[in-house]
Amino acid sequence: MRMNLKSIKVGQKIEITLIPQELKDELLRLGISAGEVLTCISSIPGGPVILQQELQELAIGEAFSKKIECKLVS
Amino acid sequence: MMNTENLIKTIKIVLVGNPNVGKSVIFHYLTGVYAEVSNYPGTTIEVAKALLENFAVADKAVEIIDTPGVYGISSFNDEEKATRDFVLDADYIINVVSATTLKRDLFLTKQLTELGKPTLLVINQYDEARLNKVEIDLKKLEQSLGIKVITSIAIKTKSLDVLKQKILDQLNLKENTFLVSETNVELEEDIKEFREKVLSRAEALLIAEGDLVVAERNAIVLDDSSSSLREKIYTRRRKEVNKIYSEIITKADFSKRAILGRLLLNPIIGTLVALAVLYFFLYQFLGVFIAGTIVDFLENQIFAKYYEPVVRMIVSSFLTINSGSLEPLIFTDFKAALGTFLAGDYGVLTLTITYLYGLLAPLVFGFYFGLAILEDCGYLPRLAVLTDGVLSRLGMNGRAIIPLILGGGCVTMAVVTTKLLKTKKEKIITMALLGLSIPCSAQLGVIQGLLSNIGGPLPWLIWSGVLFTVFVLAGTVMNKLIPGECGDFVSDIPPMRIPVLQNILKKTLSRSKVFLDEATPAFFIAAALVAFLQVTGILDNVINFCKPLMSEVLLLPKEVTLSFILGMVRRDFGAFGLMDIPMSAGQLITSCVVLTLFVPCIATVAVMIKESNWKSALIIWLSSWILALGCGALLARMLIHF
Ligand SMILES: Nc1nc2c(ncn2[C@@H]2O[C@H](COP(=O)(O)OP(=O)(O)O)[C@@H](O)[C@H]2O)c(=O)[nH]1
Repeated sequence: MRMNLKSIKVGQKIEITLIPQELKDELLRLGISAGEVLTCISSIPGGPVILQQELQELAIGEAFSKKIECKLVS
Repeated sequence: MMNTENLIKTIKIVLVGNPNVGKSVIFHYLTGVYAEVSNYPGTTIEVAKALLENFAVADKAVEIIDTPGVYGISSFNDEEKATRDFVLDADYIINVVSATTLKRDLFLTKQLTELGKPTLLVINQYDEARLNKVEIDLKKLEQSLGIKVITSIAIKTKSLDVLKQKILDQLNLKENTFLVSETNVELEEDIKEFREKVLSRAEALLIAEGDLVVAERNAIVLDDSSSSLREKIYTRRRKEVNKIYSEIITKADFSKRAILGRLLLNPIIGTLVALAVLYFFLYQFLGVFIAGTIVDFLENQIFAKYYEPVVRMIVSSFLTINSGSLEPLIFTDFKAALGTFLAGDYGVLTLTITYLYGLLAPLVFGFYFGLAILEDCGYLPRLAVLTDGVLSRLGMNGRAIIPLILGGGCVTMAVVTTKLLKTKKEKIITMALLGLSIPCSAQLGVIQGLLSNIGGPLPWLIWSGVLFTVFVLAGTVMNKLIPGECGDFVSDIPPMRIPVLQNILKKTLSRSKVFLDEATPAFFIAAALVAFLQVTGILDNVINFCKPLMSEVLLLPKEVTLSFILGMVRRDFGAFGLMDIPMSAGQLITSCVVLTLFVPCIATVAVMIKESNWKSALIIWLSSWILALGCGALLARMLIHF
């Protein structure tokens, strides 16, 4: 099932499937590209989604997170 | 002090790394106490430079440079531009990475090695990695990158001795500890075109990655294919880094969670904590402790009792001082005019010095001290995350929280940092809100002093309530009216850490110094101007002229005019003399609100024009007149029996 990052819930583990062109370079440097698996650790209503991978934590604003596609891993 | 005249060349060692990896702690260790902190030209980006302590090699001075934290070298923003230029100019590079976020950090490392500069890799925050039982195969990492790798725990200075030894070995030519890594064939192929046109290999790589600034410097015009070449190079680099990363981490247990950092990202708990932090920082610490206790002691005990009487005594021994009287003196009694100019009520030597060092300096210091703590413990990015949702509805986003908070120190400086915002729309809105509704620290201090004279939290609540309403309404309206996108944000969130006191103090001192150096001359000029207006009697005329506006519209005593006029010159002057005017509680609150909303100072307007254009600046300036007078008139009537 295709979904976007904003729709995931705290505790869910997802795999990134598609990052829009405009965000690719910035996220690549931060270590995020299609295929990476991340866990959602918080989601601010009307605000960013906060993801975690190993010891790294990353917040992605609402508008961007709606453009990033992912699928549930567990 | 070293004699720099007969030195042949200064060797430049540049510290480069992602944000929050411990660069500045390492910088302070290497350089000792004396660092020269300056703003990179045209920005508020801080760059610290200092000579390597007690050390010189064969008539060469060694300079260590701490650069702004970046995730890669290019021209995406001002930080990167500054760092890029220092890297291009470096003789040696110390790349600092965090053991906790190697996968992210090694992207920059890989890029640095590809630039072809002699580099040493320092894996810092090793203690935090150990806490999570992360084991790193350093030998393997050295092989993969082709440079030397050491580990450190910067907060334990002992662990940095290895780093110092490596630097000394390199400089004394005992051992090559800074290595240039071998290049990879595919990459060479990608940058071949530019290698033929550009002397420096590093610049050729940056141009291949689509760095427009570097391209222009070399008179190269990049076409549309440049972004696809960048993507190709970036993607390959990321793949290589991920491969290296998977090979070097031999063991790790990421189950340990930093609880505090997580809680602060919870929408409800985080908001409550944010309110508490604002309350303690702005009200208890800055308002009550610094503006109340400390400033009170300095002004009333030190300056009023010892400093001012001595100055008055000296001045009055050869001139006369007409205290209080505002008669035109200059044509009749020159001695009295000069005496009053120097040491009268608004004297250049009396009030200005007292105000500058008794009031402004402690407030600015207090503000930057608090800010440095919030910054170093990793709280600010969390605040940005929490406020992003709200700010994006006001046409900004989480990034804007930094200028907005900085505005609490000095609005002018905050306007300069709006450079960091990406879209035009968020920039204009942040700028406008800074100019309209954010009080700077000196203003904040005096206003809270005034409000606490009335007593109780109610005046404070009214004042901040009005400002908050103006902030939200103005933001909402601008979001609707101004076309364009307000952008969005992506932010790395560092773990919460206990800040190092030494680091905090150094940051606070250097920032306060930059501020005071800039503010002091402006202060004297403004004070001289006011003193001149006073002794010539012009001030009286202006005050009388504005009297109807004050008494009819704002229901305030006419003397308040002076504060408002001064506020136009520099916002923090606005508080000049406000303390001494007898007013009712309602009038006090009204004048505090008007003072805060009133026009941004000349310096701020100048920066606004530079950062946007004169039209936007003019609109902001005019709307602040309307807002200040409108809100003031309304509030004055609501509080008439207060
Ligand atoms: N536990 C731990 N904390 C560190 C270490 N090095 C730096 N820190 C902390 O990490 C934070 C960021 O350090 P700083 O030097 O300001 O990072 P910069 O942004 O790279 O200059 C500060 O709170 C430091 O006290 C380390 O080796 N171990």
